[in-house]
Amino acid sequence: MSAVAEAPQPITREPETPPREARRSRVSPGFIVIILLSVVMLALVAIAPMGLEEQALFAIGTCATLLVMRRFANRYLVLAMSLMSVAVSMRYIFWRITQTTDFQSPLEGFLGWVLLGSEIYALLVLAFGYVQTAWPLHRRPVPMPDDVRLWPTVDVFIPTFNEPLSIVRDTIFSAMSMDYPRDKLKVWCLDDGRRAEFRRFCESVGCGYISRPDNKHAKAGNLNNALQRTHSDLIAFFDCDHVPTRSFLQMTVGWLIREARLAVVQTPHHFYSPDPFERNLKIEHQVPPEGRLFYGLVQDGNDFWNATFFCGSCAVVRRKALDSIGGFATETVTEDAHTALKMHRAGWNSAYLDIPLAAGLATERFAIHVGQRMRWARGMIQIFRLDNPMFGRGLSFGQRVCYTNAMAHFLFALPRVVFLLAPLAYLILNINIIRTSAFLLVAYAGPHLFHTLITNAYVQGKYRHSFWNEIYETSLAFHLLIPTMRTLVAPRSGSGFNVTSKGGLVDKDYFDTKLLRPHIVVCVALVAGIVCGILRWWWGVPIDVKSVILINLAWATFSLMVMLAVLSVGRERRQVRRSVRIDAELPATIFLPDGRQTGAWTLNLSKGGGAFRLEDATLGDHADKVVVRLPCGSQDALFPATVVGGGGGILRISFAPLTLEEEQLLVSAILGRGDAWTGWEYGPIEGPFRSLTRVLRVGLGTVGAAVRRRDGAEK
Amino acid sequence: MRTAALALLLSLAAVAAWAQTPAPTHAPAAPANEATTAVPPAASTPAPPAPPAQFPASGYTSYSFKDLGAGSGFRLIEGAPESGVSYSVRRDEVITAARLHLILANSAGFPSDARLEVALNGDQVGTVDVGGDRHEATAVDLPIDPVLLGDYNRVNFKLLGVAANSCRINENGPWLSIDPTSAIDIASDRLPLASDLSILPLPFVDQRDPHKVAASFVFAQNPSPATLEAAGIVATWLGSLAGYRGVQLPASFGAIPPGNAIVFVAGNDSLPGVALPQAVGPTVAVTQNPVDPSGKLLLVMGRDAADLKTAARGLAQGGGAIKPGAVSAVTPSDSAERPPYDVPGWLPDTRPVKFSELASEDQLRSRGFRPDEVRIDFKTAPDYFNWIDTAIPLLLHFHVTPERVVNLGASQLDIAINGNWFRSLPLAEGTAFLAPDIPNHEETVNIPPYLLTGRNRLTFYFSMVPSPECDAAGAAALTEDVDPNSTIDMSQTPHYTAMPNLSFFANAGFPFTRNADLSRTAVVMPDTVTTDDVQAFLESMALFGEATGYAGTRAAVVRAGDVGTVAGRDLLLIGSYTHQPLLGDWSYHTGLVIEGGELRVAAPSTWEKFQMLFEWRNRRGDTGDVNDWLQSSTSGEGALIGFQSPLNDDRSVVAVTGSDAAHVLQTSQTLQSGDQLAKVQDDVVLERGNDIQSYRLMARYDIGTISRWTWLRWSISDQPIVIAILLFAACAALGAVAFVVLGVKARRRLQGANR
Repeated sequence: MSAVAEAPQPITREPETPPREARRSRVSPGFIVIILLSVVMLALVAIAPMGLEEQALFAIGTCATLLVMRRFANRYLVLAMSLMSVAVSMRYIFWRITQTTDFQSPLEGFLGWVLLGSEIYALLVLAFGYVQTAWPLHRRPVPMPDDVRLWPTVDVFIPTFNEPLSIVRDTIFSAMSMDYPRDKLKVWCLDDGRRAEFRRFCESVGCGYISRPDNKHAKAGNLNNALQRTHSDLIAFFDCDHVPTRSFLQMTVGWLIREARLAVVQTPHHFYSPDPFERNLKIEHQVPPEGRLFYGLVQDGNDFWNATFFCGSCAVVRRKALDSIGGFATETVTEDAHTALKMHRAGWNSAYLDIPLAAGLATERFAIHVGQRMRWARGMIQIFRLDNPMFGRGLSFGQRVCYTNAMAHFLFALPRVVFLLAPLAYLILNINIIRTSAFLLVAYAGPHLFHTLITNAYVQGKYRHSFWNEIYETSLAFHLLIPTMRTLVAPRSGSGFNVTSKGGLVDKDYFDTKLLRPHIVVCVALVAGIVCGILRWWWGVPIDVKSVILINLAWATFSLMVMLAVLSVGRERRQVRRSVRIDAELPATIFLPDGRQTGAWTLNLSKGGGAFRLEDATLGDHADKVVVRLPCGSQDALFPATVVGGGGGILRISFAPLTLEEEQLLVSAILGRGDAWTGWEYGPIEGPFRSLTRVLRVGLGTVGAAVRRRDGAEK
Repeated sequence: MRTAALALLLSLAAVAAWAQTPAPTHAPAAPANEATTAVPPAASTPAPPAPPAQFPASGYTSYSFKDLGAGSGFRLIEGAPESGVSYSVRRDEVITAARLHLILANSAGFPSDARLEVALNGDQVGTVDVGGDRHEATAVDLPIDPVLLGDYNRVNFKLLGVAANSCRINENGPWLSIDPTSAIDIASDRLPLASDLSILPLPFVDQRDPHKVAASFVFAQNPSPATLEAAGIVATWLGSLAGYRGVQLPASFGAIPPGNAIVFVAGNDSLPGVALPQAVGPTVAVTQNPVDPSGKLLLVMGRDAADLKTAARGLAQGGGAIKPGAVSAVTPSDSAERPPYDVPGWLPDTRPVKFSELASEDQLRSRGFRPDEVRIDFKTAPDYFNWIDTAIPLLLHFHVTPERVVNLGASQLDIAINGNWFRSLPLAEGTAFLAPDIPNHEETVNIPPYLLTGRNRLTFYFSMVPSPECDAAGAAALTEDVDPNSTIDMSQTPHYTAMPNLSFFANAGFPFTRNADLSRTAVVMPDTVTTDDVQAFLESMALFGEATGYAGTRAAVVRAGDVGTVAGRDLLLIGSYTHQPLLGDWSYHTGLVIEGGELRVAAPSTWEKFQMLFEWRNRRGDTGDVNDWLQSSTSGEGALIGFQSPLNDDRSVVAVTGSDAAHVLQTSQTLQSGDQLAKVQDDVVLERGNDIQSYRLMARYDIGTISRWTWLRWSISDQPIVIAILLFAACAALGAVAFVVLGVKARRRLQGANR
């Protein structure tokens, strides 16, 4: 710390101008005329009430045009496609409101308006989403100044509460191994569990240790406590399981030096273990993981609008910005987003770097995932209610849209449940909640759904495949429904912070029946509805009734398909390995006890051991004890190991017990490499149709498994 | 009392000794296979003063049940063994003999002791033994004492010998059917009516005669347009009185035909056989037809055509304009022009209208568990804007008594307009599952406006299910009422419609009838008219009178050359292709070409074809089809053509035309035949006998007024191509703006320039 005081201070000059984005981009009058004309034209498109034939022609025309646009898609055409998608959907919603709401009973009216309200919500989120992702910024890192004296001092905060040391120590090791002048870097373990084991460990490795007598305000309180006891210019935050790479600060701090009003540089949360969806649905490396949309697209899109928000971890924050808003926000259970919002309101900027510079463990089980999302949802809705970004002061248009959408997103539970169950109103209760003919409905809803699907598949294709949104949201909807609604009505109610637990193991396959009870009930209801519909079809009804039955059957079948896929998430599959194994190809050298040595490439590596492909295949069979040399940053390190298997030029080893120093080196070799997570395989882009068949396969897999299990039980 | 009056009338008739009776007669529809003897009325029936006369073998009139409104006859079954039919007598007739000609059939296994009891106005007139199997329809004649017939009569049938408790209607049990061709046969003498103007419209129109109103229009010579204006007034007057029965108004120049006739004479006109009094002003008179003792002449006289018009107006006005007696000077009072849509025959559209204004309480009531439909007939303007926003609310009150015999939860009120069911209302709120049955007595329902036409029939059918507590007495007393205080409200619906639309013309005389006094109507006649042309004209005018229920007195009649003087009116062109010069003159406008007395349709120009791309609603048909049809026969054709007036964009033209005057007349008469009317649609209707073809060939134009907002939506609603182009253009333009603006912003942000 003392070194900082002697260093020349001007890391960045404080700007004289007010913090607001001073130069608002001026739009020329010509543009304004074009915009006004276009808005009038789109309004006409939205309100034109066409009959079946006219609407069918219009629908075919717009859908065909969209397909042509997609073929030649570039940034301009994607903007036009998004506008078209919103316009066509607005047209649908306008038609729904004005022409399909002639309800004939109070019950019908109630259900009908609930459905319509859900559709309006979906359209709002769709439109906001297009704005949010209109121009992903693809920001690149800014090099650090050559003069190291200009580099700001950095504290690294690693808050922990109840996680085992075995997890936290990797993070501490890696944080301490980051490439940065030793005198400007201090790692702090913020232990809210007040555990002696942690204190001893920190002392032994030379890491700062901060704890406090109480746990007031949970994580936010913990961080605020640490803020008061440290003094560096910047603070890097890592959740206790997020292991940073060595280059983390080199890549992120540059922007903070260049821009004085920049408060946060956020990087993605990368997970090297499969999340419950990936593991239980067996889709790892085939379908982008759930968080990929947010960190790959949304945050990058937010960055364009200066609305990237702080996510609590894997980020660097300017202390001055935090101080200016009185530290971390404590009013809500998602302190990170709320803190970011406050900083944005105070005129600070944020930036996003879509480079994975830290990695962690995904939530192990679906139940934990649900608990985590419940907290996020509650927190975001709390902010929405207590500190509404759409109407509060100090934000730009883009920031309002991005923040509002981030929060409105978490209201998905009710609409999602409504969409799932809507066809049952007709199939089981024989209530028409959309008062129109089936053909007209297809003609109007068809282009609305088609544009939404195709445009989103193009915009999000790399980050989320079609229909997976339905699965991710549906899996949570039933559990989020009541907490989110309660929070929306009474934002201050409910329990406080719950810590997402990580690092546990699933030691055998099991089906989480308790958690998935609502899903099972809905599945049964959907099947009942489909059976009702088929029976009514057979009953001999006129063609216009048949068409309504058909639409509702198709809808219910889609709902059922999504529900079956969701049920698979609750089928927890066994996890075997305690230390996570990383597939990496690193140059190594194997030393035999007899002095011989050979070059080798790692096939995979974990803290327990690894597999190597030997350059000299003959040497593999000759020893049971070896020493392995691995590159650890600028230097190489030697690790004693025992041979546990091999042959055919492959050598499998298990590391001998390591000293703390050796362990730190090994962690940095495995997890701390600067390029550790770049080029991670998220799965190829998949078209909507292929994505649909995959969802179908996943769902049918659940049915198959259920049938097999039943057979097994009978035997 | 009534019987006594009738007896008196009968004796009067006998005194008059009107020997030969050439009243309109025709033979019975279906001769009986085998006439069964009917059992004479039971002893309890009050004995008539004389036994009924033997029914004549010919010279009588048959009124079939179908004509009397029972179109499908009757089917009497267990639980519903009663039915009946109504019949009314012409006022100038004295009935000399009457009988019921019943055509009966029954089901297998019919009870052998079953009898059909027939009652007239509550008095039993006979019983027919209908027991045993009678699979073949059998005719039974039942004589009726004419003394029992009043002005309005009801014949009731009751099947005896089957269970009558209507709590247990058995649709599948034994049945007796009375065929709709069954008839009431009436032999009558016509009463000599005095030649007295005070009984007008008698004898020319009798409200109780279900036949067409027939009267010849006689002119001393080929009538001038001004004379035709006068004749037109009389024709609309007759039409308004004739109503649904229609008219037959042949014209005659210089000779008096048999039957009733209206004679127009001005100045020194003379007609053979009639002694015409010298008219010193507008005068009407009624006198005996010199060539037909059973006919009367109504003389419309004056010094000139203007006097004739005044006299005709007086006729139409009635009341104080004409004094009693055989001859009367006419002094009609002045009346103001009627505003558009203020049409007496149409449902008022300035306020909600109570059902009591449209039907009697009795017509709004049905009885029993198998009730007849409750029908409300009403006419409206045909041009209500029948689009998505329009709603025609019916505020319905209804009830059934006694409610205890009815399972309210399972019963419902079915509502239809013009034969199209559109809503069923439960008689009780809630269902068995959700709530106890609470009787439902009122509800507001919306008539789908597209089901509305100019002539409407609103039908209520109580679909009733008996309750477990149902008993015979309660069921017999069961009535279902649509409350007379229920309302229908057209006032929220604007007048706006796409034209041309000949269906509107055929069904409602639209657009001419918008002004009930025809003050916006001009008829363009050929320069030289034939009797067929005049008849077509008169019957068209009568059609307008029928549509409005009002005698229009302000129509103008002009020759083609003077059409410029009536440019502000809707034009009705009458005359064959060669005699109606405007058809040729306006062919640039209509695309209809007349060559060598034949009609041909010109192919659309390239520009018109381009315009048609944007005509999604009411797309125009292929002219080739029309020409093929026109050339498929050499026998000529009649044609009805509607298009926008070339003289005024807000006005319409309808041409009643054809290859020759006979076809012109035939076309105008198509408009009077109910069953052919439905085929008259779009804007070009061609007919050759029963082959009637409708085509859409003319450019569309809209008439009426709607709000700007509605107009905007209406105008773009049939333009899918334009809307799609708007969408693409707006997205392209906005996308380009966004691309440029966002691009600049992104560059600035990446340069860190937003400090």
